Amino acid sequence: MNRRTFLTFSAGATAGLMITPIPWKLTDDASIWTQNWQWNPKVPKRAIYFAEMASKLDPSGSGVKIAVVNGNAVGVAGNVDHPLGKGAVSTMAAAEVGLLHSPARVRQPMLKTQTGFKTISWEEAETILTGKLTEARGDVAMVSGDDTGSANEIFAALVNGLHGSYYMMPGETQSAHKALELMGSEGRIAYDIENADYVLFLGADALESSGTSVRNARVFSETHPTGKAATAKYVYAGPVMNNTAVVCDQWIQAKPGAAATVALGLSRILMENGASADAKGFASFKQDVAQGYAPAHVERETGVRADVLQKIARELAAAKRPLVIAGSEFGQGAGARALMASLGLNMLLGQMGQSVKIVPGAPAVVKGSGSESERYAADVVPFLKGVAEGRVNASVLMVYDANPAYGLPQAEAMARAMDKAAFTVSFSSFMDETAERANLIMPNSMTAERYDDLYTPYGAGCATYSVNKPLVKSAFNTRTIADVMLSVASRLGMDLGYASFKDVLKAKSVALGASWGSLRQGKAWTSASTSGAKLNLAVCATPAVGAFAQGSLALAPVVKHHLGTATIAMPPHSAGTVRTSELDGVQSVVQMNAKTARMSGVKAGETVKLVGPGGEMTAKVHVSEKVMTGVVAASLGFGHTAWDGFSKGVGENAFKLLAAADDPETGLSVWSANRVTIATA
Amino acid sequence: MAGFKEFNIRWSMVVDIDKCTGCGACMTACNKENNIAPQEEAKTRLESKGFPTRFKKIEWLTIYELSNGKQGGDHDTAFLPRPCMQCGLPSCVSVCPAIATDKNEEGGIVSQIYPRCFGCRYCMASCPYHARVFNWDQPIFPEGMEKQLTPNVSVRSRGVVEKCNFCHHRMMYAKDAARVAGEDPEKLADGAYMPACAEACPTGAISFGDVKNPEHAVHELIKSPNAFRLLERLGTDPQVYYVSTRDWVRKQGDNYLESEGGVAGGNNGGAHHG
Repeated sequence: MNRRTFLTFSAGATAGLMITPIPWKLTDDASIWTQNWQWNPKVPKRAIYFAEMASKLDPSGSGVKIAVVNGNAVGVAGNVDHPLGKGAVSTMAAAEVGLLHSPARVRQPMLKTQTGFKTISWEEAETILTGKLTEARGDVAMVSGDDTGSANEIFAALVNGLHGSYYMMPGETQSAHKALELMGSEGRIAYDIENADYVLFLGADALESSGTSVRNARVFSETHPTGKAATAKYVYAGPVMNNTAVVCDQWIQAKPGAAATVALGLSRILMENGASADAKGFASFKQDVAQGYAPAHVERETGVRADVLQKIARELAAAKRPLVIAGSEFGQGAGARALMASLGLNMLLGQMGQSVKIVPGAPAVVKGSGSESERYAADVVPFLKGVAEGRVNASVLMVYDANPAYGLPQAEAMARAMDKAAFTVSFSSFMDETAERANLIMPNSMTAERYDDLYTPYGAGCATYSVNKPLVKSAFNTRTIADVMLSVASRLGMDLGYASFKDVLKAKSVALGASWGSLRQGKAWTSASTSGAKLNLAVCATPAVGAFAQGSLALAPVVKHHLGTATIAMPPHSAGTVRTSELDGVQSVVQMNAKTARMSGVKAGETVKLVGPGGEMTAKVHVSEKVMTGVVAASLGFGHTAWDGFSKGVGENAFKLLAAADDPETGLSVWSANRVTIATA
Repeated sequence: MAGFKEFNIRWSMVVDIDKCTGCGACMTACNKENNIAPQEEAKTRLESKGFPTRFKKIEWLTIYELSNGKQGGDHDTAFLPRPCMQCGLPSCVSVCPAIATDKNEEGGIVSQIYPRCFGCRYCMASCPYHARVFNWDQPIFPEGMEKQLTPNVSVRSRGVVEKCNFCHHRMMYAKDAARVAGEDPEKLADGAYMPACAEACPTGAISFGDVKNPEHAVHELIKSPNAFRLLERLGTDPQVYYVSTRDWVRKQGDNYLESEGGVAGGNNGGAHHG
């Protein structure tokens, strides 16, 4: 081959390569076939159908539609017909379907032995539980975190039959029951946010984690149409520009746990300007408020400037349908005082029966279960503290739909209570911190797998009732615990009057006057009936419990449902939503503003140790002006020691820092105003 | 640069930043809807050993937190959800050697055809919005979770770029429903086609529709003087619009220099620039 031939061949080969489709075809084929491995998950090829469900993991009780393919739940869509969902899908509701196959699910009943958990059958589990309950008569306790379900009636009837004690997890529902009881009424508090033209949130994170937050957010959306003028003003008062404050028309900086004092400060200004209420105890209320709560005093106590307080009072008085919603910034630990003070303020504004209503509680259908108020009467925190310290005996401690070993103040002491109780039973669907410490785990089926119901969550606009039926086959060997406990009651020789939980739900629908057929189809029942009971204002002006501990900074725990709730750890499908301002690597992040950081001698990015009355934690500092001066904000939801790879060992649990203070007058302990010290770690 | 095809329908998203709480419901709904494998955040971060996790994170919709940078009472915050912009002049399309991404369907959605993609990532380099993500790893679904895959979106394997496509399958469903109802599938009613994020959003911050259809709400929304698009001066002509009454938010939407004046508004009607 001479030089000319070689060049001709080379040029020909180059041109040929440029023209031939072979390399491109090979590249194309390579990309196709290398995506065709048999281990690549394949999607199903079946039709989708949708069925209604009310989310039980979302505390706001939003109704959604579940997409089902071949008996498996594959997705979630909004349900515009549900009064608490209004077509939206919350983070927890969106993640609930994905949790059906969470690695943390407990797949069958388990009994703790010397060497760890061993799997047992449901028959064995029921036999063991029945035996333990028989032995422990009178020394049985149960804790439930289900604020909306009729399953509580079965559990309470069984526990009452054994002369045991029944506790509900603390939260806004318990605060509401206690507030109404102290004011001489009972039922559930409903907020008609739909028709309010001025809404003041005192602490309550009502667009994210408080009350019927999904419905509230939908109403916010309707009153704040894109591209048009807002038809209502929303104001948030709290220490952190949280998910509610960030979209409200105004954020007022107020210290953690300030809701009651701010409400009473506003009440005083309104009464000085002639406001009154046709209610029992008004004179006493007026006198008590007049003796304290001057704007200057409120400013000192809460950080809310006196001129801002005056302006808000004027705006409230000028509004046609004002509404004040008060609570803890993180949904628990406010006791009853904030709510009582805000009810007093709403009454001064003439809104009782208008923006604020009392709707009847769910009618009891299981004999021996007692009333709702009775179930909410006892405070679980001092009980568990007593168990942890060995002062109180619990031969059998049962936990349903709650994770007290993680989601309560002094979380480490609460976890000890699970160990100290002679025999702990967890009904959790997940291997959470409580289940991990339990002697017996009897896993509950999840919402989409079981019959269940949902009656009027705290803050709904009116009485609502939804029934869930099994929409998909159970992913694991789990059962509906309400049914299991009916069976256990029967084994104990108790007749609760029902053979199955489904029958209880049918009876409930009859008692409410709702159509079972319609409920079973997933349609929500609503009722406009309200209670005409007159509230006694005299108790509303009692001073709030002061800050707990003497630290240099006020602690503001922050709840965001994409990080989970006090019961549920961060769901797998939300794991990617964590921001660097919440978590750095696997280290927790706390937020404070630049001034607070300077005052505390810490810098952005530094690792610090926070010491609170309940315990301590380390975290990195993120400087953000979303937190008021003198406050450190810590996200709740991290620091799980159980669950799965999505949440276990990620960050630290800020619940550890908190400790509860007694409030003997209301009977509910308070932990919404803790203080912490901070130092470079 | 030659313009891309003009379409009679221009599916567009209008995000009201003043209504976004940053709750993340849109991201969670998107992950579930589009069969994005949940990632064990802690493990991924630890195992990445210095390799920036954000490059390994698979998400089609990211929420950015904005700050006006001021301290004390003057401070303000906003959240900005960022899906694929479905640009009118998509820089990703022109650089793709495999024609795996294209803008060639009525509605203007920029496609991503996974079996054609061989992972060169030119599109990622060219996208000014960081809207595209690359599968560095095989997607791993926790045991049993593969039963919960939706039939609508195939699972992407390692070595493939993926991105938001405005839940294209929902458009196909909406068109099918229109055909069954005897209606014109090219004239879907307002709200008949909604991506999962827009449907989920509790505060209704995300509006969706055809900006060329006067019967759709977004047709008017984008004419607002408060409407803007991200990095508009690049001339990519995005089909995602944002609305905020706050001047500082609009300014941050296009990297305005401190020395520059206010934001020019009202030039958002879908005209091509550049």
